Amino acid sequence: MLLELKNIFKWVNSGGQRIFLLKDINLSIEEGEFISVMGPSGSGKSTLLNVIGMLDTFDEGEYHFLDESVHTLKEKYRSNLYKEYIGFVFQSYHLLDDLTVYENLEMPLLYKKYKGAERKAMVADMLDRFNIVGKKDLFPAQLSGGQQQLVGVARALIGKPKLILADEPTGNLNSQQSEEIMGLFKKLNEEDKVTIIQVTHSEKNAAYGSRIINLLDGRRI
Amino acid sequence: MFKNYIKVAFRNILKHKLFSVINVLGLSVSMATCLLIILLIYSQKQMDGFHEKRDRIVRIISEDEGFSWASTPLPLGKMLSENYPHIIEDAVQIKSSFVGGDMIFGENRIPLAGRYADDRFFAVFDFNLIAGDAATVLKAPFSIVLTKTSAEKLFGDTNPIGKAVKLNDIGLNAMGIDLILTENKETVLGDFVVTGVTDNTLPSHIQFDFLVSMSTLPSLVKQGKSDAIFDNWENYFDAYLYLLLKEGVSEKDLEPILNDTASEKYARLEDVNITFDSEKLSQINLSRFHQNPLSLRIPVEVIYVLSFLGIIVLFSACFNYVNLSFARSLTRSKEIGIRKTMGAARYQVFVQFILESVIVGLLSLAIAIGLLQGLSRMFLDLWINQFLILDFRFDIVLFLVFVAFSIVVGLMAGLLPASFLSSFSPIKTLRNSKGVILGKGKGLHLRKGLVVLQFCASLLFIITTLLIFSQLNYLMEKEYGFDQNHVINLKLQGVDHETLADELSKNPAIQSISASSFVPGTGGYSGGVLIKNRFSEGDPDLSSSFIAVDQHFIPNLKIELKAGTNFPSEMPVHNEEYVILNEAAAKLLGHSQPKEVVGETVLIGEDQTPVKVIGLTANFIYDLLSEATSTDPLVIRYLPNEFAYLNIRYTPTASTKSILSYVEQKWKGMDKVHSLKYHLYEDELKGTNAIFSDIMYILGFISFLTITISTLGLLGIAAFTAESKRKEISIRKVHGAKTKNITYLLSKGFLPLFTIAIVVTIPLSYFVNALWLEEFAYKVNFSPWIFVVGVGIMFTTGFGTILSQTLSVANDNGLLKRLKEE
Repeated sequence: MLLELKNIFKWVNSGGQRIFLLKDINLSIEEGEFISVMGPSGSGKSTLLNVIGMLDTFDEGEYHFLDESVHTLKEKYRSNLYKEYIGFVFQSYHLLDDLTVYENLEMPLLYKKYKGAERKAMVADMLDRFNIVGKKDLFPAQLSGGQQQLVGVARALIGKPKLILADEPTGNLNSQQSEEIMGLFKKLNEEDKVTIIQVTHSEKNAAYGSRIINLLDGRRI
Repeated sequence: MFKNYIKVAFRNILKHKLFSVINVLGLSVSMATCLLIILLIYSQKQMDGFHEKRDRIVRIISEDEGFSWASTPLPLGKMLSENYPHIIEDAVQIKSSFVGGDMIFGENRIPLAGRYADDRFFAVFDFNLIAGDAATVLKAPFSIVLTKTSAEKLFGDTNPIGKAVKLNDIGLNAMGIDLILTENKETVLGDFVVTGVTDNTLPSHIQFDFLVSMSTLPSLVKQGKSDAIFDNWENYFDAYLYLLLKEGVSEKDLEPILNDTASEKYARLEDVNITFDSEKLSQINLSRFHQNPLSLRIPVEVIYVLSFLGIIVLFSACFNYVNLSFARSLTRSKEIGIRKTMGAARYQVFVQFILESVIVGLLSLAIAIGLLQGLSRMFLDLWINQFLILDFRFDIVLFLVFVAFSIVVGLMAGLLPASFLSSFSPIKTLRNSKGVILGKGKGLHLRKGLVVLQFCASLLFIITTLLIFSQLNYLMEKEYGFDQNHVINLKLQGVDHETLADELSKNPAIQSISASSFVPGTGGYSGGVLIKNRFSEGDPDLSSSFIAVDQHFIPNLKIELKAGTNFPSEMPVHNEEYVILNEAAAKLLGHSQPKEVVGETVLIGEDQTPVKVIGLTANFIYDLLSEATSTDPLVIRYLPNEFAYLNIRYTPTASTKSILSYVEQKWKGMDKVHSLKYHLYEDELKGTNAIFSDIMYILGFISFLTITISTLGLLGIAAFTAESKRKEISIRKVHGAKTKNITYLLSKGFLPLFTIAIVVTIPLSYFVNALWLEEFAYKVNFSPWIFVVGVGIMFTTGFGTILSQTLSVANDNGLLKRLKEE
């Protein structure tokens, strides 16, 4: 088992009232799954993804990730954990505008203490695999949305994560670009056994996955 | 990792040009100022750094009645080195009185200034002796060591060693100060044998054109050419004493010896309370001031004040960096969020931002070093520096100090922004595509506080500069009580005043000529004299300054005679019979009606010579304006021996140039050796206020920097405020807001900050400036106009800057389009 959420609650207090963002979420995910999280706006999809990605905290419940109890870990160990095992892909790509494609790919490695030569090899490998060698010296603004997201996925993969969290990865792309990215996810899942959790609005994209989790007002339905 | 950080830093610097230019510009000009101060301190510290035994050399200082003196009694050196050989390895003494005048070799007569030094001079100090034996050059009486430059002047290519030179002493000083009076009479000291030549071009506080062996003095005393006394323990003006301590001995070990010596010599004497202390050679140029200095240097207080000013300017520039970084955090938050999501720890983000500010610091350093070239030249051109030994040399150590300094500045500027920016949580920055919304909480308070501080500093500097300027103006315009226009003051340099005056008066354009012992208002001084009359019997000794003048002086300078007469045209040469007093002196003697003093007999001098007061003048200003008060008493005496200057008044219609060439021609006819030394009185009086001009330059420059830097900062803040409110502005415009409403909206936030700054700074600047203004007897009033003008300047520059930014945003019609796109 890759991760397990037990009775997760997350809330904010607003005007004396407690508003639940996540309510009693139970979820366990095995390695190699491809999961789609669906639900209307404000149902807690992104919050759930952030909790799983350890970017956000929760108020109650237990979270186990690869035998580690995330809810008892200190901030520093938590960030080490996600640094090592999780890659993120965002709707608006979130590439660094001031860095070239090459440098954007290299960036996560810098924080993982890889040596210069290793980094070079890993970036070259990734450029090759995604067929973007020719674009390595371009800046994000010089790329199309689909190409940018390709770089975004490559960046998420470069640290060899066990889990990829993708928050509406195709939300800003046209249908052809969407298909390419989703096809890429499927290939990664099947060939490289990478576990993927994606948040999506689209039934079509959800169909790429092996399991669908539906949320409404912070609750699994 | 660092490579990546540096790359990102440079791209950021290039991308946000306004931000970078403001920061680099502000930091580099303020850094240049600080570098100059570092250079100043460094050069002072390097002074006398070439002596190999510098760490063991100490100078003994005397302390008496709360004052410290750089000099010591002459017998102290011998006594210490004989009695404490286990502590003191060697000792050298330099006589404090000047020796100097024309040095003559064959046809060559060169004015040179030197010192008497004893034979241990070259053993203790490492002045490079080019020729001669260090152990013996200053041993025998009538030995002289020339500097390389003096030797070249006097001998040309000839080898000077063993040659005899004549020295006619007029007490020429080696400090390069015109104002110190030289003797009007030459003493022919006799023949000296050149025993050595030294190269003293390395910076030292000991300055000389030549050194004469101390052993010469007893012979001179015998010949009646010197009044040096070798066993006077109470005269601590006599000699500078340097001790070379034994290895492993510290100043602490010396302390009890000095205390014992002082109590042994002075305990049984009543009213004598002299003590001794020591200071390291390296401290001489960077410690508190001592009376009777061997050479002039920048008082350490001035360095403190300059450093303080430099730090204010530097802080102002750092504030800009902090402020702009905070304002700009909006645009950086996304980057921080992404980096953190990709696994960056807080410290890594922190290091990245600190590195960025350090790079900005280093970039500024590069520009600052360039600016320093011009700045140091400007500084050396200041009037005061002709009297100081300043030697700006660059070396690798200094360069490293500069680099270290700029890194510290970078760290200082980057610390707050880096810790603030690195604290962003990734989830918050990424969830909101616009980045973290700032403008609330600590960051904002800090920014406002810094803006207020900058306003305060600028206002304080503006007001102070305005005040100094009006005080200087006041002093420049001040009436001295005599007519300084169309007067040339000529230094007699031993020439007989009557003969020269007779020659000069042949020119019809020269109206009148008088002689005096010093020129009033230029800082010259003839000394004080005891004065007594029937009222002051039994009173403590009254004393007054005096000036020696001839019978033409008062009419020549158009000094007002209040009562009585001037000196008669025929004056007895040998006995002093008459004096003229000023009103303050008459009051000092107890006359409430000063006129009553005329006709009275007063006793003057130590020997209480009775003289008759024949005249009374108004209180004209004879001291430096900055020192003078309206109650300074003056005794005007007829003492031809003291005359050192001719005051030559010419007709206003005559050209100054032709008069000068006439005077020069006559001078050459009478004195073939000395060059003509003169000043135009009017210019000379203006020149005496040069120290204020210096202060004006420095303060004006600093205020200019502070104002520029804070204006730049304001520009940046206003630009970013306007930028971050673009959306708000467009929504308001859609709903019909006019340009003026929007301008008001964007500018009003600065008004309270401005008001706080005024409320804080006005009383502060009043007290700060009242402090120094108190020192002047003649001073301007602290007029409210100065505050009004100061605030006006601040307001205009400040709001001009803000308006330039807000107006451009408020008028921007492209905004609506952008809003539609969103």
